[in-house]
Amino acid sequence: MSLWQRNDTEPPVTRTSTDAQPVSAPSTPRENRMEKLVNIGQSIAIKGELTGNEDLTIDGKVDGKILLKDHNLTIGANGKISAELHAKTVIIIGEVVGNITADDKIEVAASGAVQGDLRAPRVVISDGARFKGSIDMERRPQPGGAAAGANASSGMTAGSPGAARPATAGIAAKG
Amino acid sequence: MFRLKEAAVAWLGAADRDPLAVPAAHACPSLDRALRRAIDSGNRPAILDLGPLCGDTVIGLAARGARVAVEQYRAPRPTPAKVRGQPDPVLDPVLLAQEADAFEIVIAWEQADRTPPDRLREFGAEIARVLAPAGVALLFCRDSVGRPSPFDDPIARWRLCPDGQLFREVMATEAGPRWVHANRDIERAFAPLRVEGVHLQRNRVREILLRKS
Repeated sequence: MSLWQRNDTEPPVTRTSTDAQPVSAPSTPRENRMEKLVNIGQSIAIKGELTGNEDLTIDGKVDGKILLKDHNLTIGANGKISAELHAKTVIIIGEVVGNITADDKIEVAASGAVQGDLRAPRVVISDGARFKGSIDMERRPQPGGAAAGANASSGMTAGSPGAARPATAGIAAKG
Repeated sequence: MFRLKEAAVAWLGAADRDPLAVPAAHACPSLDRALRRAIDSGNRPAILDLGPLCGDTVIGLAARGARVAVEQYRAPRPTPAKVRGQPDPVLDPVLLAQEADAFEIVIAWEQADRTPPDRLREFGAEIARVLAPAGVALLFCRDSVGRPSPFDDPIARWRLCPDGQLFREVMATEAGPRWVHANRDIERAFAPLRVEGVHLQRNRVREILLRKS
């Protein structure tokens, strides 16, 4: 009874089709950004090929291949990856066994561990990180010449969270 | 005159306490020359860094156009004494997980000092194996003035700055035994390689350049 009563006393909330956001909490840029990040949680294990068109953070286990062209890949502190990685920017805080290629930058944090070859125009390895492999920072000529190069040099802004993305964003896993 | 003598004694005393603790930066002309020579030849030199890993150093070398491989060399323990009636003790292998003749430059930093004298020959042979013909190896060894050997010494990494200066940074959390090898012992142990130069730095570290013929 009390339930019905409360409904009677509360003012009715009208929702329209354009009312996608919660009424009480106006969205901030940070929340917008968080919405666009995809996480693979600590308890998730994936075997196979992972491709996508948006930024991805992995805290679980992946065994196979990860391909995120033009987007950022973060291996979280709990992430254990045994795969070949290719992304625009790769940040490693957890563990990776496999070769890593980035079109813009590879960053290995102090807690990160990498066993494999790094290939990117910019590489950062923090003090305390564990690394066994080789580093190749040669800039490969890209198809499209100067335009492609300009895109590569301004990669951080173009690929940063919140930047314009294709409408059909998503992560696909092939087993 | 007396004052000069007093100052000299004080300086030597300070150096005997812990000369390597003096934060000194110095240029490394041997490395610079070897890099320049390899890059000028038109090839991208392959460099092997035997650690401890310093991100700035390996990235600095890679940024100059080298392909840099990093391997954390674990120094073997000294050969244990044989006990009569017991089987021969099993030794840790001195093995670098790299292909033969693969590198134009091998930077061993202080790893020779971390290798016991009876295993130094194996270490030398392994460096000679991975070096390409005409390749060079660079060792940083402590000067051997009246120091007991081995002694416990903190592990240090070498930071190569963009201006070419090298900084020795002591890692306070890690330490290990360090031996003092005389020049002649290094020359014998690294016999497949030819000693091309021994340069005593201000911080009493010998920079030893070896070349594979």
